[in-house]
Amino acid sequence: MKKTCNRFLNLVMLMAAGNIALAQNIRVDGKVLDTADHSPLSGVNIAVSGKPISTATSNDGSFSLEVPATAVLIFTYVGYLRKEVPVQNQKAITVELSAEASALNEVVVVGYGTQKKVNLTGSVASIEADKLIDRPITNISTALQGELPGVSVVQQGGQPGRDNGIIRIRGVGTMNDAAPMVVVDGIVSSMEDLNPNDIQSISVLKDASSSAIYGSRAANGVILITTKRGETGTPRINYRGYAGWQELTNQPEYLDAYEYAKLLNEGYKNEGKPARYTDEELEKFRTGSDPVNYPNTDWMDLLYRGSGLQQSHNISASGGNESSRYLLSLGYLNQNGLMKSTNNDRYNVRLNLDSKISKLFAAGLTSNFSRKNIDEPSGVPGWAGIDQVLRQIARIPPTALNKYPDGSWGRYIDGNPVAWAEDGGLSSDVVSHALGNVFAELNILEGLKLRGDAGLDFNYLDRTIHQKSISYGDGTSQGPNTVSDMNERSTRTILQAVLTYQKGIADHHINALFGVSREALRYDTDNAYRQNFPNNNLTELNAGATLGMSNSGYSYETRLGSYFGRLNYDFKGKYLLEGSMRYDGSSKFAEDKRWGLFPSFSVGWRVSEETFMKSITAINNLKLRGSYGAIGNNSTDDYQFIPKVALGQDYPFGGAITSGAAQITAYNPDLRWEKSTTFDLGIDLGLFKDRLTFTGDYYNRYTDNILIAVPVSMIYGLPAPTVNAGAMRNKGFEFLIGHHNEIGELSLNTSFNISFNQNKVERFANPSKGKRIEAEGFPWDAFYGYEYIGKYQTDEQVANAPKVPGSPVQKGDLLFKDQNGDNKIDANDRIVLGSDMPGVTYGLNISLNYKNVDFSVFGQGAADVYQLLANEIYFPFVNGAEATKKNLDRWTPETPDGKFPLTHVDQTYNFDNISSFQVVSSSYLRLKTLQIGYTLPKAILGALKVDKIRIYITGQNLFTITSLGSGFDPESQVDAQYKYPNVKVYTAGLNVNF
Amino acid sequence: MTTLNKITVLFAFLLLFACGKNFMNVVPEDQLTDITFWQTENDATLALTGLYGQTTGDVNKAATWESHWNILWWDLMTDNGYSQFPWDNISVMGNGQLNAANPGRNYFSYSQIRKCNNFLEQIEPIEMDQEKKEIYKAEARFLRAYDYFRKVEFYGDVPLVTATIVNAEDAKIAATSKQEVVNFILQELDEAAKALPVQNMRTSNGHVTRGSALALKARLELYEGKFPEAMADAQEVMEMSVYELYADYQGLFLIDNESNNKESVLEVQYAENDYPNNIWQHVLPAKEGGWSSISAVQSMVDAYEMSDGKTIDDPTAGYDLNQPFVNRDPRLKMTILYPGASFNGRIFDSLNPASPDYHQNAAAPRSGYNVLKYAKVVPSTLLQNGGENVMVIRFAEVLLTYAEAAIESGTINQAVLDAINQVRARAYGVNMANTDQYPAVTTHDPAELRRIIRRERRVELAFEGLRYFDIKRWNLGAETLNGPLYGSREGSVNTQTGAVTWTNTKIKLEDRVFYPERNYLLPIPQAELDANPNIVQNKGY
Repeated sequence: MKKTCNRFLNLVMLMAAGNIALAQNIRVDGKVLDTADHSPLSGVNIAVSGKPISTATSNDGSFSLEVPATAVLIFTYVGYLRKEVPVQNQKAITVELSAEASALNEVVVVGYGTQKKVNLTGSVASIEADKLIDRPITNISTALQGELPGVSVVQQGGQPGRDNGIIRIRGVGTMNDAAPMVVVDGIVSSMEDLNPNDIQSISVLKDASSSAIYGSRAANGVILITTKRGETGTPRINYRGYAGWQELTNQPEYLDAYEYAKLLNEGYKNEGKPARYTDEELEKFRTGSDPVNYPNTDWMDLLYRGSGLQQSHNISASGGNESSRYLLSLGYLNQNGLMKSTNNDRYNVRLNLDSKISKLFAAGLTSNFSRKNIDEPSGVPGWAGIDQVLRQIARIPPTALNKYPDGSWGRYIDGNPVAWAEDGGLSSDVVSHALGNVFAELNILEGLKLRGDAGLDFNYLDRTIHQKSISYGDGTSQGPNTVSDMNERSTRTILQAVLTYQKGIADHHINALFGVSREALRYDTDNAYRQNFPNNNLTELNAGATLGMSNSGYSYETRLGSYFGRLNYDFKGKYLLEGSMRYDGSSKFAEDKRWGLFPSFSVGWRVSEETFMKSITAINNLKLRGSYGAIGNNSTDDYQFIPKVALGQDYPFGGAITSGAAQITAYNPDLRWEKSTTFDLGIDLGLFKDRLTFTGDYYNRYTDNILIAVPVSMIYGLPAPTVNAGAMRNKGFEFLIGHHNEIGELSLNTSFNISFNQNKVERFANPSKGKRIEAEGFPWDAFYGYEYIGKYQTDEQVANAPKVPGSPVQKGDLLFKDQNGDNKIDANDRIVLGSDMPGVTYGLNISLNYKNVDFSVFGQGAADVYQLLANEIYFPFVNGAEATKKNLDRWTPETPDGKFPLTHVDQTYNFDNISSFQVVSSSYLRLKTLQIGYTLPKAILGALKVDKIRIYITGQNLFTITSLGSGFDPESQVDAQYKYPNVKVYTAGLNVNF
Repeated sequence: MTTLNKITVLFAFLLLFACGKNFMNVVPEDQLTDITFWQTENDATLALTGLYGQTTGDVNKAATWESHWNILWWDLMTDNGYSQFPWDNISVMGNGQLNAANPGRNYFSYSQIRKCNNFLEQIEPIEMDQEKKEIYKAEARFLRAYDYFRKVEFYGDVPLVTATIVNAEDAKIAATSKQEVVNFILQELDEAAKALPVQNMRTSNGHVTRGSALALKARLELYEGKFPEAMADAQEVMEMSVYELYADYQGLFLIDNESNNKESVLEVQYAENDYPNNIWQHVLPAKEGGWSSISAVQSMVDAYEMSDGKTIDDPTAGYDLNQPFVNRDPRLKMTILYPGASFNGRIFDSLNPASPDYHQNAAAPRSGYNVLKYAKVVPSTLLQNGGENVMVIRFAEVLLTYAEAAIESGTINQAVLDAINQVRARAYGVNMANTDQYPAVTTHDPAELRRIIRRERRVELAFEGLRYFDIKRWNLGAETLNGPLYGSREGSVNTQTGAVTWTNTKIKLEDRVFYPERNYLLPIPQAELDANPNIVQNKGY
């Protein structure tokens, strides 16, 4: 990689050299005007590209400057678009600057339409494409990380193709699936397979008034993704690409064989058992004199030896004329994992068309096709999937052998994770995803429009799991080889029609919308399986034995019918009113519970438009807004109101499998909509011509009738049925502060956002109290356990301190607090230990432009968040697993202050009893992106007939500060020991516009 | 068209989209619904099979009516064996470290009882062959009784539910006294027995039979001290003449001999590929690809008599500490794989650190002793794909039940001695009449006989899941379930000859603690205590 870097640096220097041109100075006189009204602009900064010369316009907008005849003048003025003008020997220049759109005319995408940002009364956060595109992101969820207040994104791992972040908007608002609804160009879909380069903008609807128009599925927020479309003008061709490599983020450091063996002996001794290894054996581990019988294997190092190279290439063409416009793009992404045999290949093709067929009639097409191929190790029979490889790598001790001298694999109980990854076959997912809609728009009369959409979201997963049989050097083997071929199809069809009406009479403006839609989702899957193939190379079912073959399949269907409407009214653009309503019917509920009504109402007051504010020039925008509304959620399984009898409850009477049936799921005919009502108060403030902007929101969301299976007594005899059982409240604040300034040729943009959220369960019939608590009065699913108050230090404590019944303890073991003073430690002594849903999330974005160089840094973090460091991720020798270097800092009679308890091997007391010892704060600040870019000067580009060339280098996840300490990734959550680790990514990229 | 007309037409068009009732009515296409099920004899047959079958694909979860996962593992709670893997959830049940939050295994689920209750309610109105219906009902009643049998043995008082609970909220039920539940079980078994056919497991193809019902009834009566009743029920099974002891004790547990096994009175059936178990994976030694999940302990080994019928602590028995496995009851080497024994063409060596079977290795028996019941050396592809049936009750147990009940009720006669001697003679592979070829029991001394029958049960039925309940009813917990647990002694094995040079160091497995106040019962799981305010935790937890 070093070589690549050097080449890259050479390229940068070459380009910089091209910037130096020789020319004679001339005097230029000029004037700067506003495009809109041709009034002179004073105080406009004028700089000369590549020269330390600058000036500013006087009161009448005039300026004068001595510059080289070939110079390029750069005009910058706060609130206006930057402009570059080549002098080209002109002695008098008049320049017109246009006001930045953002100030007044910026529009945001909202449900079924767009709205001027200044007129918004709901809480909508949005992000434009240019924020996203130059980061080497592989998916859109991670692009949103830290960018928007109230939007939390956690990227749990870095496996190629499976690195999507988990998105939560304003906390966890429900006890079932809290994922937000995703709408892509008006069609309910997912963001997973979209090409980030195709995105024009992303809006996040956070409060009831903005999202109620999506009714029954909007309770967790709505993410609206709009893709790019062609623009009128000459065809534009754009290339974006990058290449780079990955490295592991902070990973646990495991003990080497000698240290491991010594600590294991100590653990056995602590339990009164004989040592596992003799001194001679320890010596063999230390010296490595007998590497077959006494090996020292660094398993992490052996597993994570994949190349980690990744690259992305995108090319798009767009253009159009008055009657039709087009955008065509092709994207390719390739990620090679750090773990051997992990890979992701993705192709995206997009065609967006807009056509004006007649004066009254327009039609268009939005289409995206993607195909991705994700490969990962398939494990071996009995230990299927990459999860088992990850599980085993976190457990296998360094004293196990990877390979014999003859190259055959070593084995340790379940097997050898490196052998599984390299020789165990592949699980290969080919996902074809087609998403598109055609629309037609009819302008019936001035302001009245009808739009019809027919959309399709088709997903096809073709999964082939090929498990090879593996022979080990000790004569054992794992098998048989198997092939499992699974097909999964899901088709969502949407038909919708929307009628909109817009009218302004004097100072009154009305915007009305009415629509209907029907949506059907059909899911089908089938699976076929054979085993005992003649060799490990055959992967098609026909080659396998018919004995033991099997197949299976099922389907489900969900339907939704809806009517919706919205009415906006404003008076003089000062007083804003909005009401919306949706009426949804879902096939998930019985006929009499099917329909739900979701209304919302909001108001806004643009204080800055009042005459009394005009004198306060510092404030250019001030808006107060408030909203209240109800939205729904039906993310629960289908058919739950129907009493079902499941087949497949078979039994082999006399060795012949016989079909059986039984009721194995409960049903609930009373199931109905989950509803959440949200109250939102917000303020938008712009100071000094928007040089400084501020947005603040307070929200209070109450979710009721939550669809969840509440624990029931086992005496019921069935798994708990889903009921409308719970209620919870999320309330919080979120703030976004932006700063924008230009000093000469330096332009600086800074934004900081921070969100505070508090979650509390207000109703939950039967509490569930395991490792996590689900009960009234507590944060949902918070960690629950004993309070760790030190370690047993004296014999007196061992004899008399309250204990967990049945658990023998000795000096050095964890001591828990007897909360209720009944002299024993049991379920009643447990307390809430913290939640893994962060109370605070924040993001900071700083970007600098100086001449042709740009620099940006983006950090993101969370606070008031906890993680459970369970089992072997934290403790040594758990159920036969390995131990980490951290475990050496332990209690011994000589080191009573050691961090970890007395080392045990077989006794589970210290890690089985969840306590505050292992529930730890996982606050973090992560440097997510650091980027330096260089845009080639216009002079060179002209010669190349290219509009723009920009090159950049980027580092992702470069460093992290976390209270978890080293060895843990704060974004990998619970049970993280079995997860693919997060990665750092270093890339170099190139953008070219023709 | 006027503008107004246009709008009217368009609105009409919009509303035509209207989401009609039919659009929203969808039903599952891979499942039956309660509305259409329970109509025909075929439905009843499907549902009956559903009472036997397991509801999860996980062979390690005993969601079926019974499982190898219980039968082979239950002895690891006792002085017979040791479980080395905490995730098998049995070790805490042995060493006393279990509590409500970590209850070891959970037998409190009522899913089987619900299925049976529902079956008995729904089958009634179905028009079908009446005799068949009675048999089906009897099978369901047996399976429900079996589940309650397990529940009273493990929890004592438990809620007695005999009708389907419709509303989950109505499931917060308090326990019924153990005595009442026991009476219910005995009565149900009695009535089931009347309807069930007299068959062995071969002819019934694994369906429960009259013999199954009476044998289970006899077992429970023995546990409950109802000796005359136990004797009578056992005798009825003995007289059925469809059961006989299988000639070869070790072969009895091998899949190859299943078709000739007339000893099985009640069994869980398995089938390769379609409905496999993973016994071989668990029991086989490490060298054969197994995990040695089940290991025997020294106390078990010591329980086997010398081949002359004397116990090893008898000074006249000639027990040689240096050659501990010589001249022992043959069931020792048929049940336990010990250091120096030959197995699969090699000498088994669990004492040498370089051996794959070294007791400290992860997949080797921690105690030094593997268990051979059901063990068959198979290719690795079959380790988790075993089709061997697992016996829950076999004829030898019925004979020993008869004998013990007779001894305890003071009826000591030749028939009683014959019942014991049949079992003993089979162990030696000889006819009961050839008393010179095996140590036949001849004494009529009740105390002596009690010692013999208790030892006989332990040895004959080792690792078949009965020891814990025997210890419980004999109240031997304080002496058998307490203190340090040892495996074999350390030593070195001559892998050519099988000779072992022993040291005096015993392999210590763990310290066990017996809590008498627990009355041998398990804790009610915390989840149940949380969900059901009417249930009371058992004492000592």
